[in-house]
Amino acid sequence: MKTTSRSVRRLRRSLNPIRMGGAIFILLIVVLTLAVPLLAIPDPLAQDIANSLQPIGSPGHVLGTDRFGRDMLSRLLFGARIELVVALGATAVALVLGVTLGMLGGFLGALAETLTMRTVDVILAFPPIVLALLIVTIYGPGVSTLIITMGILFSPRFARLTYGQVVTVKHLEYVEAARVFGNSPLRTMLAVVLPNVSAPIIVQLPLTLATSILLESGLSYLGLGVVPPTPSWGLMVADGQRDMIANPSLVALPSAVIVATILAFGLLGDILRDWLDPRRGMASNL
Amino acid sequence: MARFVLKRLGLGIVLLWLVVTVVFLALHAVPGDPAAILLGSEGAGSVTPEALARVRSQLGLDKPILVQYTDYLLRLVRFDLGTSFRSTDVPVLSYISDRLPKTLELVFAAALLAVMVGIPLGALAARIGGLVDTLISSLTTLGISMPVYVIGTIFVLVFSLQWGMFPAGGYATLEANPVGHFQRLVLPAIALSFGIGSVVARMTRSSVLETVAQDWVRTARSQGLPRAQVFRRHVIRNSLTPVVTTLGLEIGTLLGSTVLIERVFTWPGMGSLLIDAVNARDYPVVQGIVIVIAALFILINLIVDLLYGVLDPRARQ
Repeated sequence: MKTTSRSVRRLRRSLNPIRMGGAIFILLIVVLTLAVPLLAIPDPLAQDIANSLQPIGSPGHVLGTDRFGRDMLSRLLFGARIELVVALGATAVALVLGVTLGMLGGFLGALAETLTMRTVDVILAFPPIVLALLIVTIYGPGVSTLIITMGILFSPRFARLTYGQVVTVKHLEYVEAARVFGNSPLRTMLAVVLPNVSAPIIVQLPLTLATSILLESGLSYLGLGVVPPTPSWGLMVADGQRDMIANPSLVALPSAVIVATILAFGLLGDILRDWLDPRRGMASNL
Repeated sequence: MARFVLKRLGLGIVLLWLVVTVVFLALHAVPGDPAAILLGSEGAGSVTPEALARVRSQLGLDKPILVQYTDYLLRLVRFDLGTSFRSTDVPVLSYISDRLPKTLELVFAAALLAVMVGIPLGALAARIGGLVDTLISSLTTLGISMPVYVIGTIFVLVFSLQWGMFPAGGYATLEANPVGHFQRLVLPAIALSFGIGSVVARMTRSSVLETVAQDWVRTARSQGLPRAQVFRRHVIRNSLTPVVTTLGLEIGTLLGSTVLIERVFTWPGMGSLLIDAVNARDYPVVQGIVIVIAALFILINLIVDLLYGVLDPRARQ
C-alpha cells in the first residue's frame, strides 16, 4: 500500500503541462488510429483528379487534397496506422531480441558475453539508415522488411541496458538465493532478474518508438520504406514537395504530424523516466 | 600510450572485419538463390537465365561459399570493391572516390557548425539557467525531434522558393564557381547541423552542470578566483571530454543523415549515389558504399577514442 502511494506521488510529480500535452497527443493518435475505419472520411487511395490540390477547408476535404485529389486528412490518419504498426512492430522485435542478447551475455559465461556484446558492437558500427538500405536492396522495401530490419537495428540499446543491469544484480544476495533454492538459470533470469532490471528498459520503449518513426519516415521519404500508394507520412512529404509552392500545406501537414509524434513519444519517455527510474533524471528539464 | 594506441587500432581492425563479414552474410546467408533475389525475381520467373548467369559470375556466386568469402576479403584488402552491375567497366571504388569528398565536405561543415553553436548554447543554458535554460532546452528538444529531411524541405521552401536567398539545390565545383559552391553548401549544412548541434548542446549542458558541482570548483572559488574565470578556464575545459565522445558518435549518424539531405538538395555525394544504386538494385555499388561508410564510422570512433586518451589520461589504463 505504501509503495503504491509513493509510486503514484512520483508519477504526479513527473507530470507537467507540456508532458501532459505529449501524452494526450499520443492517446489521440492511438484512438484515431483504431477508430479511423469508423469515421466518415474518404478512401485514402481514392483519386479524384478534378479536385486535385484543393486548399485546407475545401468542402468534403477538411485538410485539402494532393495532386491526385486524394483526401489529406484521410491519408494522414491512415498513414498514422502504418507508422504505429511499423514502430510498435520494430520496437517489439528490438525489445525481445535485445533483452534476450543482454540476458544471455550478462548471465551465462564469458563466451556468451563475447558473442552477444560483439554482435551488438557490429550492429552499432553502421549508421542505421545505411544498414537498412543494404537490407532493402536485397529484400526489397515493405512493411515486414522495415519491422524486422529496424528491430535488429534498435536491439543494441536494449541489449546493452539489460547486460549492464544483469551484471550489476547477478551477484546480489536475492539472485544468489534464488539459485540456491534450486531455480534453473532460465527461471532465475526470467522470474528474478528481469523484473528487477525492467525500469530502464521500459523507459527506452517510447524513445525507441520515436526513433523508429524517425527512421521509417526517412526511408519512406526516399521511396524505400512503405511502398506507395499506401499512405505514409514520409512518403507524403516527398509527394508534397512537387507542389509545395502552390500548396505548402501538402508538406507542412505531414511534417508537423511527424515532428509532433516524435516529440510526444520523447515527452512520454521523460514521464516514464522520472516515474520509474528517477536516479537517471536530470537529462532534460522539460 | 603506444600500447593504448595499438590496442585500439587492433580492436578497430577486428570490428571492421566483423562488419565486412556481416555485409557478406547479409546477401549469402539468406535462403534461396542470391542472384535471383537481387534481380527481384523470387517466384516471378521473368528473369532470363543469361541475366542470372551474369550476376552469378560477376559476384562469384558459382563458387563454393568459403572460396567466395576468402576472395571477397582478399579483394577488400586490395581496396577492390568490384564493378557496378550497370556498367561493368567502371570500378565501384572510382564512383565512390568521386562522391566521397562531396559528402565529407557536408559532414564536416555540419559538424563544425554544431560545435560552434552547440557548445556555447549548452554552456549558456547551464551557466545562466532559468528562462534561458528552458528556451535553449526547448530548442534542442525540437532539434532532436525534427527529421533532417523535414528541416531541409522547410529550408528549400522558405529560403529558396519563397525568399530566393539561396539556390534550391545542386552543386557547383569550387574551381569553376566558388561563390556558387558555398551558396549551395549553406542550406544543406545548416539543415544537417540541427540534430547534431542539439545533441552537442544538451551534452555540454549536462556535463557543465556536473562539473560545476565538483569539489575543486568550490576550492577554486574559495581561493578568490572570480566566477567567470573559474568557469571559462576550468569548468568548460573539464566538461568537454564527454562532448568530444558524443560528437564522434554523432558524426557517424551524420554520415547516415547525408543520405536524406543529399536527396533533398540534389547534392551529388555518396548518399545520392547510394539511393540511385538501391533503386537500380545495383548491389556491388550499395555494398561498396555501406562498407566505406562503416569503415569511416569505425575510423572516426577510433580517433575519438585516441583523443579521449589524450584529453583524459585516466581512460588509457
